[in-house]
Amino acid sequence: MELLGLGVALFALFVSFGFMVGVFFGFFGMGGSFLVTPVLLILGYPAPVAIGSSMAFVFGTAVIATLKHSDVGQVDYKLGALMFAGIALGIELGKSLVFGLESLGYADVVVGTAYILLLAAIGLLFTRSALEDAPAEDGSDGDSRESGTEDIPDVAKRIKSYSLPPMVTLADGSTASLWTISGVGGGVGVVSGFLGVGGGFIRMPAIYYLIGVPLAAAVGTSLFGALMSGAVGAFTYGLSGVIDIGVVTALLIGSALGARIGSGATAYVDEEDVTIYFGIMLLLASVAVALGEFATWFGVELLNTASFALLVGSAALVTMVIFYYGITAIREDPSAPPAVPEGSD
Amino acid sequence: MTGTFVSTAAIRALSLLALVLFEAVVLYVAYSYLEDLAAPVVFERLGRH
Repeated sequence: MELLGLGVALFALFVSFGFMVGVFFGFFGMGGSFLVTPVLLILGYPAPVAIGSSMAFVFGTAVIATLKHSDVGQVDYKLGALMFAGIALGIELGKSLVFGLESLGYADVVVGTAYILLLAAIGLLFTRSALEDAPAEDGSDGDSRESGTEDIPDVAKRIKSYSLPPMVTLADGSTASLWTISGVGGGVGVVSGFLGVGGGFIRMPAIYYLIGVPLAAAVGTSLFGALMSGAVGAFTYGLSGVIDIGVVTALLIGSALGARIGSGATAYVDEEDVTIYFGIMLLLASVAVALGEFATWFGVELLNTASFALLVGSAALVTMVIFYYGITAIREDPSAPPAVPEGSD
Repeated sequence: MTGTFVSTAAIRALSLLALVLFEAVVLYVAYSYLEDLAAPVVFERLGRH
């Protein structure tokens, strides 16, 4: 028996994995996509299929997140629209790179290696941040971004001081060079198109640090960017007919539910308690993708199985940790405030 | 021959986007309904144990 071209077991696996990815997305505001492509690669899907299907998944997830955020209104649509051209060109370039490498027979290796480095880098950042984030004596976490200040970082002020025309007025009244906006859009687009990720983990910091949009608006605008990246990426890869709609549907069924539970858990679970597990999971995911690459190079099927077990197992473990902290907190204090939806991919 | 033509591939890609959009909206509405229905029961049971 098959569901949308997938065996029942594989369909259930994708729904379960989508659920875990959704929990991370809802809880951490990221992790929605950069775990999907590696799993598809490890399962033996060709790089273009893995990336294209992941982009379509990003689009669906961004639509759901946008529906959740529809009443918040912290989006600079003008900036988002101006970034669109850069994002679209960047994704096309990223896709051309993938197909060029595919024709040479190197796509799986290069994309896999890029993922090893990416997951390791983000995992190290999260782990280090969790280890260093000891609460300050006054109870604050020492991060001005959390204090609600509408200030922009020094690096953004310095970039804004170079008035390279044409200059564009943003929603908050400040100005930015169209070249900076296009450059950020293009850079994020290349990463999105090459790796099949929404790119929220670089787009949001880029909008904040390089364009100089206040943090609250940067999060919302980044979400709008995820919607555009996902749509353009899914369309671009869809033109080549490499998107597996069965995989996308199964992942969305799980992630839509997981994201709801993950964002609900933010009202009960202190993110600092769980961040270190997320960081370690990303490091293990990096090792898992490396094992998958070794399995391909040396033809050892056991390494592939170990790779898959490590990736899915570590994701399941972090999901259970979030559930454990959440259930414990609800039992101790069932009257906690309602959740605030998260907003990136 | 001149003019603007839409290729089969473009129609296929746009149909796929529309399908994913439709799935996302249906899932969002369905889970919202389920959450309203199930959340009070789940919280009541978790709080009791």
